[in-house]
Amino acid sequence: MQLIEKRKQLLNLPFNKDQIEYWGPISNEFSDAFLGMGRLFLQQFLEKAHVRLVKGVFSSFVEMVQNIAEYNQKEFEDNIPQSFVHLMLGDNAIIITTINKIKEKDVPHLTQLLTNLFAMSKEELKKAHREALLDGKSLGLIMIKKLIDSELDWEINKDEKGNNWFSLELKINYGSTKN
Amino acid sequence: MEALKIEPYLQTPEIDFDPSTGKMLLSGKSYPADAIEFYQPIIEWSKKYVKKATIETVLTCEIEYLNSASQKQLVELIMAFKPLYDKAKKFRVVWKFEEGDDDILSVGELVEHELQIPFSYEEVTF
Repeated sequence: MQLIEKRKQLLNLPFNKDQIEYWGPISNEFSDAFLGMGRLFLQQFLEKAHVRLVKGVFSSFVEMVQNIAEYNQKEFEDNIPQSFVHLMLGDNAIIITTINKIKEKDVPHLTQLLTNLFAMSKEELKKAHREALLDGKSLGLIMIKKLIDSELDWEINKDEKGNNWFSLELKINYGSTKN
Repeated sequence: MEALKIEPYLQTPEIDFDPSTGKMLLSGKSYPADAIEFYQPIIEWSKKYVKKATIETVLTCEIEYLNSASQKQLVELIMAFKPLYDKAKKFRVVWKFEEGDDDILSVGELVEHELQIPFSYEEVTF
């Protein structure tokens, strides 16, 4: 461990324990490999946790990464932009953060979609999930929002070059699901 | 008609559909990036099977994990078998889920409610 820390200091890299952090292009092909790694990482740390917690964390991680990969493939094709994924195991919560570039044309729709989703009651979310099973629209986001013992936040920011960045942060509390 | 068998892989489930017995098994994890690519041939096979089937057909879904894209495809797969139930009540779904995994259970309940096909539920250990 000390050797890794020394090397990271030498190369001026951040050193974060119990975390996965990635900043780079995310395509479908990449997400398949990355999710496999994330699954092993979570298995190691959540070995004794309740099945609902483990699956909740992993399913959210899958949806968040695959959402980015799918959007990148569809909208950017061969010029996949840099995206960010961060999975952190804290003392009382697991935090998954993703940031990805979105096109200007998609900002109003995404803003409306998330605003509506965040205003839904538990029953309305269940109904939305039923409908999404048939039409497939926004199913991944609905699944994440439905997750119990969790908090979801989002924002869209514009950088100095005029690029729009969509951030999604999910905090899953150990709460009642922890053994 | 030949049986449809697909070995499980990292992100895709085992498929063992036997037209001679009417027993169809889908088992394991399902979270491929391209769920359509994986499920469409299975759905096509099922549609062909449904045209000829005369025996009772049971689709057993033994699900460890299901991503959103797979959920949508699984609904399409079950819909492919629905004519068997609508015509002669000769189709049912056995939905197996990991003990304590209420999320997968609730997906089954949602699909059952939406498609109006009888499901039976069983808790299993993976």
